[in-house]
Amino acid sequence: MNQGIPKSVSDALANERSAEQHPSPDLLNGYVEQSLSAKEKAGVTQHLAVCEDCREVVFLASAAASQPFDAAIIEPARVWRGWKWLVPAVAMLALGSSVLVEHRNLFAPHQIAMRAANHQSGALPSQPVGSQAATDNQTNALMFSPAPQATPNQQEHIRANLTGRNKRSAQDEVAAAAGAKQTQNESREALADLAEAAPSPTTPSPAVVARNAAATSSAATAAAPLQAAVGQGPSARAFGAVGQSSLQSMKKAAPSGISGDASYRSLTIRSQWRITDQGHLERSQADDKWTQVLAAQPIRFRAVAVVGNDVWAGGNNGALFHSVDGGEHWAQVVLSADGHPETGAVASIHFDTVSQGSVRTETGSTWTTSDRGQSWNK
Amino acid sequence: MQIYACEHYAESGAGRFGIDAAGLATLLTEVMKQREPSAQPADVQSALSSLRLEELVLARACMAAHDAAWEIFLTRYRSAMYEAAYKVAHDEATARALADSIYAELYGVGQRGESHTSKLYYYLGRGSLAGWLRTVVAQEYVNQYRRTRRETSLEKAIEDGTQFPAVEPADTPPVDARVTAATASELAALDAQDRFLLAAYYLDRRTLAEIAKLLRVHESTISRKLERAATGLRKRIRKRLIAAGMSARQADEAMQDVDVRDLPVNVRKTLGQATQEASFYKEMGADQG
Repeated sequence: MNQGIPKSVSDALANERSAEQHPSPDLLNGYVEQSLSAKEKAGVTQHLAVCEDCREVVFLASAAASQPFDAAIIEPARVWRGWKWLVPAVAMLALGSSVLVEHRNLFAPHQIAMRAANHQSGALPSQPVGSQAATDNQTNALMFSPAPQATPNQQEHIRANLTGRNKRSAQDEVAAAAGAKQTQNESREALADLAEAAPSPTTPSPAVVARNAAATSSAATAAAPLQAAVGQGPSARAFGAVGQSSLQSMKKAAPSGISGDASYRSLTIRSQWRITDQGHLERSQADDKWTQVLAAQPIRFRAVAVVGNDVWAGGNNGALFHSVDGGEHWAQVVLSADGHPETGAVASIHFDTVSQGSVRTETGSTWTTSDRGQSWNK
Repeated sequence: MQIYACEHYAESGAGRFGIDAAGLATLLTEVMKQREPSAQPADVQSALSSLRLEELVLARACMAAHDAAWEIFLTRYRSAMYEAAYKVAHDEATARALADSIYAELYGVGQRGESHTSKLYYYLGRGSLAGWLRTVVAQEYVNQYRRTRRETSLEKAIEDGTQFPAVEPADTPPVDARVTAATASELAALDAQDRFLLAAYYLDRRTLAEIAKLLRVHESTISRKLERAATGLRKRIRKRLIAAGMSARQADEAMQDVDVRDLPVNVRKTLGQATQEASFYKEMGADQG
């Protein structure tokens, strides 16, 4: 593109004129909103290629739209593109650290002595588990944990890459990333409790159990800030449940939880959404490959909105669908007041945050929610 | 059409404006005819499936001077339209004047107070009514802008140094006919979408972000497409020039951009598209000229 086009080409383009009449505002608006039939679109594109005035009109109309459009395509947040590699990298680092620390602990003089004593007595030591576990837990957590708070650079990166309607959600993401430290602390406490409450006789030693639990917690929480940074994903406590298993199972669980789990995949691959002129809801996870979603529903969709991993889609007869996992699973939401369900077609959906949003119907009704669609007010 | 009207009657909200199912069917038939007089039944079916029915009915009810319809229209679209006008004009006074003039036309009142067909008659439900209003605002602004630009005052002309246009030098080097022919042929063969992209980016100086927003794709996609179109065009023109008898070096030289100071380019002629006065209104009916 740096080369540009030859001057002869730019001159020829500039001198091209359309012999046809200009398309009507209805057609130009249809072009802007991408609601034209293929034939109409081809005609308008042909005209726009040679008509500077109409190009100016469509660009002005496009810029004047306050929201992108009812059927907005939310591009994948760029913050993710650069960070995709970070999730497995941090998890691997945490895993590697845990193995290293484990190795060091196993060959530490006091551990060797303890194992020797255990071997001789054939019993678990009577040392209180909790104190040792808590100590190891804290130590390991300090050693394993990547910075859970969003650094100023990360915050700036998130802010810089998200604009417009995504700004509010970006703030939420920054707040969520910052809040991950608290979640991580909770996770550590929970795992310390877990280790204290259920020492398994099959494990090598209670201290190792605690360390395993802490290591798992670290592996989980290593991913947690990034999970939280997009405002979704299981909490660190949920990941901590994985930590109940042994180190072996942890080794299996951590990579699969990070790279293979379907729900996680839905977090990392953000989809683009659109509504076709036939009223089909479609999703694309790669350039130019669109798949119809909710095809079984006899709904002509009119609006789709995406906030984080939450997707909302609405159509005729007040139909409203909600997905909390980027479109993997859907639930129908009934808009009703005083026992009267909404019958007007959903004209637009707007969510400022994951929980707060509004739905406007073509009959002029506006429904608002502040609890992620659990309840609606008309 | 009758079946469609009956099925979608409740959804259309036509009942609020005293339009029955038969009236809705008549309205839809008229709109479909207005859209494409020679449309095939399949096209009509496809058009109906994506029709903004409720907004179309509202627009038609407003045209029929239905008070309730105007009330809804004003509630929904008045502020949005002024907002759109401001976003287009970037100036409050201009935006207000722009929106007011459009309102008058929506009511069916001309600039001199004469009544004529409401502009809403031309809303055919392809996209949203709000989007249509934004497009009308943009179109009116472009009309006004071009009109104003053509009425540049003498002071402005003096200020711009264009009151005494320089005489074009007589020894204008003629453009090689082979370059012109090759360019014209390749441009004609170019896909309309690529031509649009090239024109928007290189001629109109639109940013990748603007183009991406309009086409609803990522900027990088636009960048790739532009790169591909420009590179392909260069290659094909070069090939044509060589086929027309130029050496590879001559072809490369012919395609190189020349220093603009060396070119006797009539900038006004090159950049200015001779748009006729209020040309947008030509297609909108004689009563709006």
